[in-house]
Amino acid sequence: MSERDDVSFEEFVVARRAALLRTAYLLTGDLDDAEDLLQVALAKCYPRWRRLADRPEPYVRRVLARESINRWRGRRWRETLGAVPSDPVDGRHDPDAHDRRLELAAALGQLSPRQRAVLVLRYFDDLTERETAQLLGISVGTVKSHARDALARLRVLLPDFELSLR
Amino acid sequence: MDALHERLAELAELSDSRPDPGTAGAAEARGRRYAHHRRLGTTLTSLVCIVALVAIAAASLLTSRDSVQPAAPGAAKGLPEEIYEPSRWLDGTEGSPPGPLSLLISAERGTWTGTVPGVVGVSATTGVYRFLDLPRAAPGEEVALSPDGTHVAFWATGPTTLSPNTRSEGNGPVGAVAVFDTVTGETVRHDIVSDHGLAPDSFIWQDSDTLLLNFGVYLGGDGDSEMAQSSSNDHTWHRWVVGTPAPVAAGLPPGADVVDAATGNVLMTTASGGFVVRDQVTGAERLFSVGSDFSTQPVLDDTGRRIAYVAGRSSRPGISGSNPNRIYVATITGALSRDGAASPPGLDRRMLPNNGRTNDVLGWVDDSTIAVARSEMGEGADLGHAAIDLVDVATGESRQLVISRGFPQLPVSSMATDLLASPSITAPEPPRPWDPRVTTGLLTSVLLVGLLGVLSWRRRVRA
Repeated sequence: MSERDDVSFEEFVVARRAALLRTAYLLTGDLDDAEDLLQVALAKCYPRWRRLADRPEPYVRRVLARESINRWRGRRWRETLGAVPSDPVDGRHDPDAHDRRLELAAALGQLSPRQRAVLVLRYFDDLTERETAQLLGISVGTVKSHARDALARLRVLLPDFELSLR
Repeated sequence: MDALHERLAELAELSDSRPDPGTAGAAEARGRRYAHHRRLGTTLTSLVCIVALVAIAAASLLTSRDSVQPAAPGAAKGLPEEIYEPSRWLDGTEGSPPGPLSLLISAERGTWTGTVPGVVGVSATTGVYRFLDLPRAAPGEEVALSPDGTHVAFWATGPTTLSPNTRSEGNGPVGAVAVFDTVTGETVRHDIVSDHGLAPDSFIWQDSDTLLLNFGVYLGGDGDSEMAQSSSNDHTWHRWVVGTPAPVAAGLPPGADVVDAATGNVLMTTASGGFVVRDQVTGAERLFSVGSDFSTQPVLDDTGRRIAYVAGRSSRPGISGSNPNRIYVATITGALSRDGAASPPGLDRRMLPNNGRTNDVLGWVDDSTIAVARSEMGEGADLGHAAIDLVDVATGESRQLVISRGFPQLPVSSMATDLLASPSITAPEPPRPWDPRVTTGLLTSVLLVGLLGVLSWRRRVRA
């Protein structure tokens, strides 16, 4: 790989790390896992960076989402739930917000990896059903059923929250 | 009101608190290792696949190759000293002339979907085995080799004027007789037009250029009554001299049961159970009978005055037929007759000493020698053997010319009888090629396994 490509890879990671880490955190529920997931996704993209250099982010996100599902297959996903950090970096302290995060994180942990990935891609990354299906390599119908099941599960797990969709 | 997006964003904000541990550098290092491992696994798997593919292809090639060198011009001709069972996957002649043949062996020929009846020719000079690719040959019908091994007569499929009769083999009606020249590779074909197809009876080579053939015509074709489909008439004998345009009437009685034909003479059965030898030049006939205990048809010598045959009867209870199969040589003394009035036996016959357990007389080699087929049953795993022996008709002494181990009977459907007078040639066992379906399956499997292995490795290798 040329020096120019190295810089491009590094520039991309520096610029997009935070955004990608947010998605990774929602996919995994654990900051250490999220960082590792992000590094694995970036590492898998690195060998073909020359071909991705024009528009790498969709591919990186695809690897990220699929890797998040694949890596969970080897373990019992329901048994793992990372600790929720107490406060965001800006130092604001909102006990209600902390409780909401804690409960949402616990509820997300009850979803299957694929349900969770569909939920994050559809309602956090704001992808369409078709884009979500293409990203995960599944059918649009499967995306719909996973989204429907995931929302139904969240409504049961979080009865006090109104999960209105935008 | 909390939108799900805002709730998720609120949760995701927590990741902002994590300082960058050098993600770019770490990901790049892991990416380099990942690429290296992927390349390594792909290369190793590909190498293993290539080695396996080459090994399979080489093994398949080696098992299909003849170890026989091409015969030198003027090489001696003879029967092979040992006859082997041909593989159903032997090569075919595919239009190239195989040279003079010593034997024809009926064998099943393998195809991608099963087997079809085929004929293997054995080279008289090299002993090489090849399936004969006879153009438009009717499967399963008789194929006959001329005495000198240079002509192969066969029945061929052809058109009919009405519905074809395909009941015999289901591969189209017989509509022609053809002769394949083993030296030039050319086939001379004579179409015989009929309503529903021919009902072939038999071929007899009278000499190396003269073929006697007998056939009838079917009375019905596909769609006609069962009776009509299985009935035929006009069974007449024709003579075809190779090189002339078409067969001509042989001048034999319609429906005659011709047993043997030597130069200028034809041996036929009579309605009363005896035999008659007809001189085809003069029309003179000699009648004789060999009694009721003969097991194989008599064989004429070149003079038309002597015969050899196998006969005998066992006195042991439970044994029927002509056991113990002794050889008789006889001189025909029957008076000349044209109406069958001569009184049998008309033979001066003599049993050869020490010649039991003979299956058949194959022919006269010269004035004093006959060739016979014999077999020896084995016990247990030993399947026994069959052999062609030469027997001195004066003394009964015999010597082995050809052996075929593992066969209770000689696996020969036709033979170049002129070669019985020549020493047998050394011929190695023919190759036993792999079933091409197995070879293709193995090659495909290796490719698939290799491809799946590469894909699996590239997907599962850890970054």
